[in-house]
Amino acid sequence: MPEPSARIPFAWHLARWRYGAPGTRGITILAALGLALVLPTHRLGLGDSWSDAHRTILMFGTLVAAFLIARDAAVSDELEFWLQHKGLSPADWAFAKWRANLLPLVATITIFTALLLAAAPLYGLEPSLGSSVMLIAMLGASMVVLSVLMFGLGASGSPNAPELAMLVVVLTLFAPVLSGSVPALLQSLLRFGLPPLFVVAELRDAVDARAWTVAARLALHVGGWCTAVMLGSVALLERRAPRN
Amino acid sequence: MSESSIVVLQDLRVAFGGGKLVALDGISVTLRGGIVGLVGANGAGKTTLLRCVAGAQVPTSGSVSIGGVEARRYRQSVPLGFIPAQPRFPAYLSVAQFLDGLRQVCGNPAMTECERDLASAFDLERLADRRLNTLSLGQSRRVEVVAALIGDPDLILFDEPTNGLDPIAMTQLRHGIIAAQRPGRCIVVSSHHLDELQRLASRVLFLKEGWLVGDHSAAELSSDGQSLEARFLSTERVIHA
Repeated sequence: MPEPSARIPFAWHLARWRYGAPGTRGITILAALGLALVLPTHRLGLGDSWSDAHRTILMFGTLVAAFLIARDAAVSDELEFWLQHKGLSPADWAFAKWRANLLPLVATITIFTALLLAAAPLYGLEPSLGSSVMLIAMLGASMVVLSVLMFGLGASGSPNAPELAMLVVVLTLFAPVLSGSVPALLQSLLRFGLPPLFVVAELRDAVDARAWTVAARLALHVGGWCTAVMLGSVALLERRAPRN
Repeated sequence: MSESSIVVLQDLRVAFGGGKLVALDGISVTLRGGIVGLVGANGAGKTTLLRCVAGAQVPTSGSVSIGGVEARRYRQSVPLGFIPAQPRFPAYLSVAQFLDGLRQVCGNPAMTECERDLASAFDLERLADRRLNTLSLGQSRRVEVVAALIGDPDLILFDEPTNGLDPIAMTQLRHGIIAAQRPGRCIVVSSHHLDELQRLASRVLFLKEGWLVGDHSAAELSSDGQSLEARFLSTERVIHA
């Protein structure tokens, strides 16, 4: 028999995406962000240049897509109840959802990047293949980090997981400002405890500069954080009993 | 009698709130297949007992085993059927997607004759494309019975399945439960509808405030002509006295 998560029918994921994660409303929001990528939004003062403005929109779009698509992976639902009685653990079901969610996440990044590349010549820019690949890789890594964060918060069983996720992301974005005024130990805790979104950006810079040792250390940081959160989440999910 | 469906509860005790609320106390009973009815007032411990058998509730002390396997391990290793007091369905799936998907999760076993007969008797083909959240309570119960049978489990638990059902739906459900019987299968049904239970069960257990206060076979119940309701009420009075 195939491994448990592979036994989940793909039709269940399709129905889930259509119904609520991201659902019609979510797809509309993502389409609006996609449209914003091809418009001259830099004239609204989002950045000094078209590139600046679109980098901001792209990062915001990544965040929104992760919230819309990856939020339900480890959250307890009605199917989990039935699956638990058919010998499939909540961890298997959650992991199957998380893995399947990578598909629409990657599709979103690809569409965003394609739109950006298609629009760039309109504003007198000629992006190179290398920079496009780097952009996709960085967005992909950020998406994975965010989906792992959502997975961890969903596994915690908190009914306020989406709000907590937003709080953690805001804290992450302000961490560089905060860490200047706190003791070294707390700085380390912030750096290693919070989602490594800035580490992903540092990783891109290190790869750009061909500083491979630094890049390897940063990649280890990102991989280690994701692995630790996933393992902790699976341990929590394995203890989750059916709510009957 | 197949050993795989023998449910053994040994000195089972479940307490909540650091022991302040005792839901079950000193329950020792062995269920050897057939349809077992579980009767008790609200708060008697019926749902907690079913949760323990389903491996969803860890006992404070004592043990529950099914076919010699601890209840939680049993649930994690083989399919079982559990029908909760309120239908619990994902809103986004159709009846066909739900049932076919569960079958796939169980490794696509061949449909048993009983499943096929019930699906046909319950007219599920007509409901196949309906979203689960648009079904009536009676229709939901029919889907649940067929879902519970997927994987051909040896143990099926019904938690007050007739609540809120009209007489026609109740009759259909009763026929469904009777049809689900087979050698080596244990079906436990908790219910407040004692007349329904009397028609169904080969054995009835009475629970009161967490204690097992009665254990009667169908033969015993029919021998003295006393209805299950009368017997239950007299048990309640004796305990009160």
